[in-house]
Amino acid sequence: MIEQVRIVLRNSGLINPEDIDDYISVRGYEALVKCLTESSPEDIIQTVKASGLRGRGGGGFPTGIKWEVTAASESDEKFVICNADEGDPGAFMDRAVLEGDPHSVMEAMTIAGYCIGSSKGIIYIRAEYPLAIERLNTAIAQSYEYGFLGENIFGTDFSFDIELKFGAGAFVCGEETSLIKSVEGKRGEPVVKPPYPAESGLWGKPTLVNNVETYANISPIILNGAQWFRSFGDEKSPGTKVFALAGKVNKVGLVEVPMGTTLRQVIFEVGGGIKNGKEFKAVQTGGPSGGCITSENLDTPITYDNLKAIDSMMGSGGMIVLDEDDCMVNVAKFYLEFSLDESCGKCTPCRIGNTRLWEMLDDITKGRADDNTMEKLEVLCNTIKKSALCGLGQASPNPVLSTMKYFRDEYLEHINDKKCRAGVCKALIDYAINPDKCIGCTLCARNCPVMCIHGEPKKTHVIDQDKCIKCGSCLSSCKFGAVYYS
Amino acid sequence: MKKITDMKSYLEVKNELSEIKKQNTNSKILIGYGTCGIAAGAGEIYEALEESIISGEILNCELVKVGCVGYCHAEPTIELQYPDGTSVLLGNLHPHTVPEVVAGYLSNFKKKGKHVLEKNVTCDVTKV
Repeated sequence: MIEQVRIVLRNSGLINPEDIDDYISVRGYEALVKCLTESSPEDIIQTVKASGLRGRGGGGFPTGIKWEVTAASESDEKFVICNADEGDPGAFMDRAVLEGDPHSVMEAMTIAGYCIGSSKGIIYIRAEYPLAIERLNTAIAQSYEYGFLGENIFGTDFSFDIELKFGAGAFVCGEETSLIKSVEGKRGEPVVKPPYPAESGLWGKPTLVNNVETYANISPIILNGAQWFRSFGDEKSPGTKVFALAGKVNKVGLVEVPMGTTLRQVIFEVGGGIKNGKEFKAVQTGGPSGGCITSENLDTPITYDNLKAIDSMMGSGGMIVLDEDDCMVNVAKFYLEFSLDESCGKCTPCRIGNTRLWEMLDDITKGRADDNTMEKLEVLCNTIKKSALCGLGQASPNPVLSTMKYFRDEYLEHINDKKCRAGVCKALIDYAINPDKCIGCTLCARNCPVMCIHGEPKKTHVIDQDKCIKCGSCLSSCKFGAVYYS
Repeated sequence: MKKITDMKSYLEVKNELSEIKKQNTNSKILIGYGTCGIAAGAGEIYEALEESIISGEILNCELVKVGCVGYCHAEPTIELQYPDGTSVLLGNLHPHTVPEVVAGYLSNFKKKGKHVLEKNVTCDVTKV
């Protein structure tokens, strides 16, 4: 049985997030005191680098190198930004950290400020997280009282302030360049990299952007050393990762496991297996930018590189478990719809390409696709990937590509046989009544919203296919299992 | 509030806080009070427990609102921390029955039942 290891969630659920004393009593802010009074910025950056910590927002860029580059950029002013714009469908780990342990993030931001030579921290958080905002505001006020924030912290010449910026909940603002635009008060549209924010970010100044979960790892690394951190996880992806398990799994929730744990362990051991004893079909990781992982890859150890190799990605850590009742074409359509909705519209491949992709998927689920559709889908997916401006566009065809790769037969079944084996695509299924099982109880006829089921009491009932709207209420109401779909 | 200026003053504050913690012989009831917990009814659980503490049904206990422990499938959850450092995590609670359940576990840590999710979850890796 795999054990959870809680580094990021070390205090969540154990301390009162609205009381700084509770945080201090579990060695809170000790790392900050240690850094400011005993270490040079270079030493701290070396420790972070040696720990091998990689960006937990999904990209997996080495955090230490990001700090080093930002520290090396010369400027009169620099900024530290915490990316708390958590937007993946099904992900809520950042919210849990900010609501349960806000000080840990602020402490790490202050340390980062000291390392790169910045005096201004900004937490970019979505306005949909009112409780997290409230607790952060409380935490910031308490930090000033103890002198963990403010002018000349601990009598050094280092000063640091943290302010909150609220996002309006646009998914693309999680991308660092559009996040910076949004902080500047402009439209949240991405810009071409390079220059990277480390050289020219907020107001054209060097800016360090890290995710909530990345920051939450910093204090334990400084207190216990890089080697300690490396004792968890994998050589190339040390430490732990928090996953938000959702979907058709028994124990929905947050789990923190060492990197290198297999998907099977996460879903079947920590997650308690699939709901209602159904068959596992796939797990979707990485949100709208990721892909589906099938049962054949369940034993892959979870690391940034391994997930990439099987056409998915770590992403921020959302894991949506799918079972036999989920139609993969429909799942791909759902994620594409999300990307479509969240596209800023600046570049053509993302704005128009994704719309055309969605239309093709819609055709497949409605039985209007022809033999060429698969090929067209594939070509368009690859074109968007190569030509879109930012990460959102480049990654938006991923769910389509990965479902097409692993569930090709399901696509072909939709296109050639006009069948949906999961019974999700309404246009492709017909409800019918099995005369051998029907006892004529009239329950289905009474439940039918369009009154298209005919038959006398105690005699076999028949569904009028021309009028049927395929709502499925006959299927769910029949107590004798006589209604079926084909 | 005392300003912290260096490691020495930090440790003084920290030790003072740990001392207060040590002398506190009350059990603690930690209520999972994240957005998720509140949505699942942590607010009602809090009120129910507060009432029973006021009425004396539950004795020597403190109520603390904490963040989410991640057991979304069993929300609302509470964790009982006994003065000796042991703890039990309870889930799938209902405001009507929660005072009784809590009183039961406070008097008998070893008690088993459908509400128990885990025991001694407190894992503090930073203390390694």
